[in-house]
Amino acid sequence: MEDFILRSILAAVGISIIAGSLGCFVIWKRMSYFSESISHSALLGVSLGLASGLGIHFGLVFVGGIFAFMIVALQERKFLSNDAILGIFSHIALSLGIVVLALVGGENIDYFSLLFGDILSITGSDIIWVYSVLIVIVGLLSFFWQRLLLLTLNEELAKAEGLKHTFYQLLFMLMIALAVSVSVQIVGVLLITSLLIIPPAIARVFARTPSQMVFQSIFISMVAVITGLSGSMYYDIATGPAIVISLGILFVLSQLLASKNLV
Amino acid sequence: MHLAGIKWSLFEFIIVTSSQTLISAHNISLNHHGKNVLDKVSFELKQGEFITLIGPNGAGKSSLIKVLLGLIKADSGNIKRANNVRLGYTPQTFSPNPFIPISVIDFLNLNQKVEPIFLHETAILTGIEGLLSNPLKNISGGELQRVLLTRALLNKPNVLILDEPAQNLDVNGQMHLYKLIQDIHHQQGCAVLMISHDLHRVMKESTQVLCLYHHICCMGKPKSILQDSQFNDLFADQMDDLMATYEHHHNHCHED
Repeated sequence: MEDFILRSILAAVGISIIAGSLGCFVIWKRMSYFSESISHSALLGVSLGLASGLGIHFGLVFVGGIFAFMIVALQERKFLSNDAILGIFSHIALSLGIVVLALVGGENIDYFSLLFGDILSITGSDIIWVYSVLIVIVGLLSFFWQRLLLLTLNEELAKAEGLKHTFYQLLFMLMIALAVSVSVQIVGVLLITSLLIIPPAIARVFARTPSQMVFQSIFISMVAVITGLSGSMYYDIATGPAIVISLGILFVLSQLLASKNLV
Repeated sequence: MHLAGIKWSLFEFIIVTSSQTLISAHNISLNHHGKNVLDKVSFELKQGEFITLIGPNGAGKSSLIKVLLGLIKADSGNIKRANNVRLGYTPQTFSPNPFIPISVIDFLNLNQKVEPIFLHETAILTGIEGLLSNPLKNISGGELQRVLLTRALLNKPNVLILDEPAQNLDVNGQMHLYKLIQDIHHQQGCAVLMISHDLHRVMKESTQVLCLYHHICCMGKPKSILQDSQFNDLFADQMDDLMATYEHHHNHCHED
């Protein structure tokens, strides 16, 4: 097997575990637009990472974290509706990213692969980054699982039982920023959210408990990502869209099963 | 000398536990958007007491509960909680997130360690033992109130705070719930602070009724229902065993 194929499969498996587990909370908390806004900030993260010389992963987590803080701070003021705030941030982030990237990146920036993913760009150090993030996210989710679940199920009850809402909200945003930073290269800036929300949306049809939903969405994500990767290599098409199309096919099938009461 | 010391501490123990103040609120004031929601509210909840908090809509009843629970911070005044207080709380409205596939029993076990035998005993007491494997989002309003009460009881509370538990229930459902609350107060001996949506009928079990309209208008003990012409229906006899009227000791009108 060629090295780049092995690397992309390793990355795909790691990203599936990260996105599949975190994605359940994105679905439960109705935060898909939030993760969309954060992922749109990824281009800016890439450009600042390149310009500062600290590397794109650092830039991605830094910019993602800052955007998350600003969004939550603006939401707290209750001056604008959430969808307006997220829409504004999402597009400002994307435009800033394109402009700054053009200024610092010079001629040889491949916008297409940043926007839609490119498995050929994955290096050995990227794999190390993916699995470091995986350990952090899986560790945090398992440690705080019961508390995060209670807060997501009903905030008021969780607060009355002594849970600090703000802490877990910040923790969750940090995890989203980390997940975005590992997914940019494989699915691209524009399609990261689909990796977070489609697998849990499919698993929702079959799952009877919250943990079942997490494991099923990880499994679904792996199937779709590896299928998409194979398609992308075989037909030489962009990786992100190939993965999203295989997720889309599984989603339609799951909805058909659900509507026919087969599950 | 040593023996005397033990005797004295035992004596002290009895005195303390028989009338220990579990939660006390002193001069609580709360403003919201320039409006006085709570105005110098003071009261005490002692061991074994049953306080019913009544008052018109918007009187600040739920705000007071939230201040007591520490969910919102009062602008002035202070709350004291005894060290041994174990709180059980059921919120006024509870809509579980419908996107999470979770069963009633998993919800009861969530974020607390409960012995399975104790959970089943409590579920039998509250009458939800048949619902345990049902999805949480599919159960009715009355069942949900009993599930919340069960969750609160699993913490083995000595203070139970209930925010309008009977609000959306029909008469039959209300009766069952009130009977259950009465049994819990009797059997477990925990202090109860209950908000009631009904201004004139409170549970007979109440040792104290507080009428709140931003400030405490009056307080007192409930009277039995002798003749309630508005309540001559099927359930009146059974309801009489549980409910009493409360006569307000002020003649000023706050709303309507």
